[in-house]
This record gives sequence, C-alpha cells and structure tokens, in this order.
Amino acid sequence: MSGPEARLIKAHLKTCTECKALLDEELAFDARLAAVPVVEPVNDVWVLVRARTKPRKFSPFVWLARIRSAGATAKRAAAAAAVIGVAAVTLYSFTLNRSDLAPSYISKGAENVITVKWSDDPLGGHREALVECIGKM
Amino acid sequence: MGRIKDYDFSVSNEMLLELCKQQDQEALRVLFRRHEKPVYNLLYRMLSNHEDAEEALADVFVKVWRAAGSFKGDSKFTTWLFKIAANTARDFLRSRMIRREVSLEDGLVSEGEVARSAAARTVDPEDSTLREDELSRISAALNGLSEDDRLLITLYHFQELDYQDIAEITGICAGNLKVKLFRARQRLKKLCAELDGGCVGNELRGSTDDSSGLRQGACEWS
Ligand SMILES: [Zn+2]
Repeated sequence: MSGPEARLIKAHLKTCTECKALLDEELAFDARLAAVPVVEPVNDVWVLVRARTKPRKFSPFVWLARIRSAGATAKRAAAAAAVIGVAAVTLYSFTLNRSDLAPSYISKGAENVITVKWSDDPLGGHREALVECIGKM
Repeated sequence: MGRIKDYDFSVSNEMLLELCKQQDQEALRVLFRRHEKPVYNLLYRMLSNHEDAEEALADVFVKVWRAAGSFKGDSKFTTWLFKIAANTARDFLRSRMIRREVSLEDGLVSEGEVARSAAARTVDPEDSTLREDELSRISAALNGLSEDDRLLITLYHFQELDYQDIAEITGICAGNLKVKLFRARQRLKKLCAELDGGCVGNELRGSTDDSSGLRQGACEWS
C-alpha cells in the first residue's frame, strides 16, 4: 500500500491500540503459517508414474502427430530445395546467355581453350595444346 | 528424446508437454522432477497423510500424460498443473471419505511424523518438541476446515500463488476470492486458537462473526 491512504493508516495505527493489536495478530499468524515446512514425498513416486505411463507401441494418434510434425519438416525442406533449384537454374541460364561474362581468355584464341571430357588420359587428349601453352609462358 | 537435465529450464514446460503428446516418457520424467515437490506439498496439505498424497501425486502426473493434448496454452503450465492437482485432491477426499476418517487426533500424529521426517532443523529436543506441537496444531486446524477453505489457504499461504492463479485454479472470480480467502483465514485462526488452548488475548481483539469471519471492532477512525 502506498500514497495518502497508507499514510492515513500508519498515522491511525500510531494512536489506536486496538487496530495495532489486530495488525500484530495478523502478522504473527502470517509468520506462523510461513513457518510450516514444505513436505516432500518419502518414496520415489516416479516409479509409480512410469509404470502407469508406458508409451504405447502403436497408436494411430501418436503416428498422426509424428507424421504431421514430419510433414511440416518435409514441407520446409522441399520449399528450401525448390528455392535453391530455381536460383541455380536462373543463374545457369543467365551465364549461358551472357558470353561476355565468360573468362576473357576464351575469346582470345582457340589454343587457350581447355575442354574437359571424361577420358583415361589425364590430359584429356590435349597434351600438345598444353605443352604449347606452357612453352609460351 | 535424449536425457534432459531435470532443471535445464531452457526446455520449457510447454515444450516438454508437447513431447508428452508424442508419448515421450523422458519428457514426462523431467516435468515430474521439476514439479513433484510443490504438487506433493499441495496434496499433502489437502489429504493430511503421506500415503494418499503419494498416490495422488502419481495420479496427477498420469493425468498430465493423458491430458497433455488438452493443454491449450491459454494459462500457465503450473496453473494447469495445480488445477489438476486440486481436482485430484478433491476426488481423493470424496472417494475415500478421508474427511470423515481423519480426526483432529490423526492430524496431530501425522504432522508429528512430518516434522520428524523433515528432520527438524532444531537440535534442542525441547525446541523440536515445541515445533512438532506447533505443526501438529496447524495441521489439525487445517483438517478442521472445509475442502474449499483448505485449498485456498494452501494455495495462498503454502504454495504462495498470486490471486490470479488461485482464481484460475479454483474457478472463483477474482473479486470474490479475497473475501473467501479472508474468511478461510479467520476460520483457520479461530481453530488454531482453540487448539492453542483458549482464545488468547480476546479482550484485545474484538469479536469475530462466525458466518463471515469479519471482525466487528469498536475502533473509530479519527
Ligand atoms: Zn483503530
């Protein structure tokens, strides 16, 4: 309590023995109740709870909840994959159409172009071209 | 779910309850460890004996497990939990007629046990006896109250919940709650005074209206 009301009560308590006695009595009773200790279980009751709450091996409700939760995760993953895919395709087609973005040495001369293809030959059949390139360095 | 530390509060009660819906018993175990003591304390104060309080404690958490799906999140988890505990205590009192069986004397004995099992902090045997007597009287006085009064006193004085939580748990509207609590408290005080061996200093205190518990003092405000 605060403000003028509290001041009024405090002033009254100073002069009225009856109210002061009442207040003291209430405070003493509060203290008495506050002294009551917190009681704790004597035994480990979890053992009882555990025995009575065995997870069901199969429950349509549980599986429904799990599927729902898995579905939400899958939806999020699919959305992320779609965004990445669209971005990749866009970037790829953009680079294809913009030859000016290709490395500058491509247009300078065919002798500098290295085409990568699957082969047992680690130099992909361009040994001569490479040797020539190195020779010019 | 892997093992969560019992007091790792980064995992909220609500998250644990969500896992209980999916039959995660480990989540229930953590909830149990977090809340068993306050819930037990409430149940013990309502039922007055360890055996029933322990059985009721197990019932409360089995109900939590089964009713996890019904928690809507529009109240605090602890309020929801205490509501279940309060209803369970009431069910126990009704089904076993404990109120008829537990006499004031039983209260005296069981509270004496509590005082011993709680390993009274005082070393002086005389102090310890005084303390046991005091606890016994309060426990006996509590047993003399109605279910509703006892629940209000327990929630407010022993569980230290605020008015809003108590209103939600008991379903008493906030406006009525203070009056009901005040009356319950006056009745408890009266019972304590009777068990203390007479109304101490009544000449100073004015009289108490039994039906309302409100004092009829003679003081005049200046
Ligand atoms: Zn006065």
